[in-house]
Amino acid sequence: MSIYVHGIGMTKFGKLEDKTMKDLLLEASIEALKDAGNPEVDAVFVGNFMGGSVYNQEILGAIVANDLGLGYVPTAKIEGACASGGIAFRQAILGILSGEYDTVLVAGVEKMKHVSTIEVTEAINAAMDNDSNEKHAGLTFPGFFGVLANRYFHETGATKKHLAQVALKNRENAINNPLAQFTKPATIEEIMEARMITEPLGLFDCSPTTDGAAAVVVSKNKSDIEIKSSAQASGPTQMQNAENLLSIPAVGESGRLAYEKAGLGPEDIDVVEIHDCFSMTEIISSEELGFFNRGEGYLAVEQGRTKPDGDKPINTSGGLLSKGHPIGATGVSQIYQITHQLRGTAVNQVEGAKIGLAQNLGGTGSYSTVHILERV
Amino acid sequence: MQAYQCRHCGYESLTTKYYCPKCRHTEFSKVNINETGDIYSYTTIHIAPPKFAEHAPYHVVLVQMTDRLRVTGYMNQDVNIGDRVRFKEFSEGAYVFEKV
Repeated sequence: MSIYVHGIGMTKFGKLEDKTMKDLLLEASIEALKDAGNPEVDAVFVGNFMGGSVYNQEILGAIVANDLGLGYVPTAKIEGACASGGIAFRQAILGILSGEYDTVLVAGVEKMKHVSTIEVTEAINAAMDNDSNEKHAGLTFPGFFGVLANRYFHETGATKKHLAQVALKNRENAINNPLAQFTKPATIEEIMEARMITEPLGLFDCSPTTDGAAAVVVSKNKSDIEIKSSAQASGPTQMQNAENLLSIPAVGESGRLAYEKAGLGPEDIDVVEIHDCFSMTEIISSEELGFFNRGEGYLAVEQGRTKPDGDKPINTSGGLLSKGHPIGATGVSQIYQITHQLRGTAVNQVEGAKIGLAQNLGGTGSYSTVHILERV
Repeated sequence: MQAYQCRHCGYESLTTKYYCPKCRHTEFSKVNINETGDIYSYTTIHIAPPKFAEHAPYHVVLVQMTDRLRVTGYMNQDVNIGDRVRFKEFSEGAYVFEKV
């Protein structure tokens, strides 16, 4: 069975004080439904991570079904840390593949800017294993990628400048994206000299907290954007259990499965959205997904190969680093950008893009989803 | 310092596990490991969780203890990759290391 994208929607990403979580969720969903021609929907899946812990709001699926008058259709909220959106999208696909549904609405949402950094940090740390000694050593999510970056520098020729080049590229892409959180130009010097978060990662190397939502309508009815494959994998939940610190096995495995199911390889992909929660993560995952050799992803960045006019454009939306990272919405917003690319209507349009890939990561490698889409 | 070793494949872990992640065997033996190791990598944390805010900046280190075991720990001395460190104490759930 083939499954297709019929409609997409996305709110502005950023600090959206005037909008509630429900406003954002409905706004993105309505846009996606309209774009799809307001079809009958058989189910709703919502990707969300911290609605319960920092916004005291659950039952997101039922809220969408009720407020949009979708009837008594089944709904669920899907939680998979920062991969909540990608997993929600996958659940919609699996639901259609099972024969239970014909058309499904997927939305992702997060509201994070109304609470202090301390509260958000605490809430995000729920995606670490509480019973592990790592949390008690003061490790944080940026901390994990800081440890990884220092080892990557040690084993390759990479330096902090290469991380800055990732951040700069994604900022330059975001400048053209009216929905992005950060659209102010930055310089490589400004990025390299910014205050440290966790060495060697500075402010620009880390994705921000963000309010926002995105939505997609998928169906077994034909459209011009086909979902060629959907894959998901899990990986170690602790840094000290990584067999190879410079590898995120969940990314590699979800990529391998997605290529296998689609009958495609990394060389076939025209445009990519990678989960760049940190600049270092984009480089490692670009290697995991087979776009570049291990230990050479930083060279591709240096050579401009991942820019919109390069041979492997990555994060033409601005990525998590500059488009913003409303956790539960991120995976869905990647599908939004890839769909625009394949329709030929994207910001930073890659000329003639026919096949696109979106990779969404949760935790420090606990979850990863990969979806491959093709214009047909 | 104590660790656990899978009786079937030799996988080493800081804590005993229900299943060995490598071979799914369920029996582990307690083993004593040398308390010195080498810094495999590290970071210096400037923006810390609430409980650690007063200690920042501090270091989180990944220490290679044996061929099969790395341990995430806390240090308040400056370190570099390859530095020799020693397990100092287990404090509030964290392995604390110091330079040799």
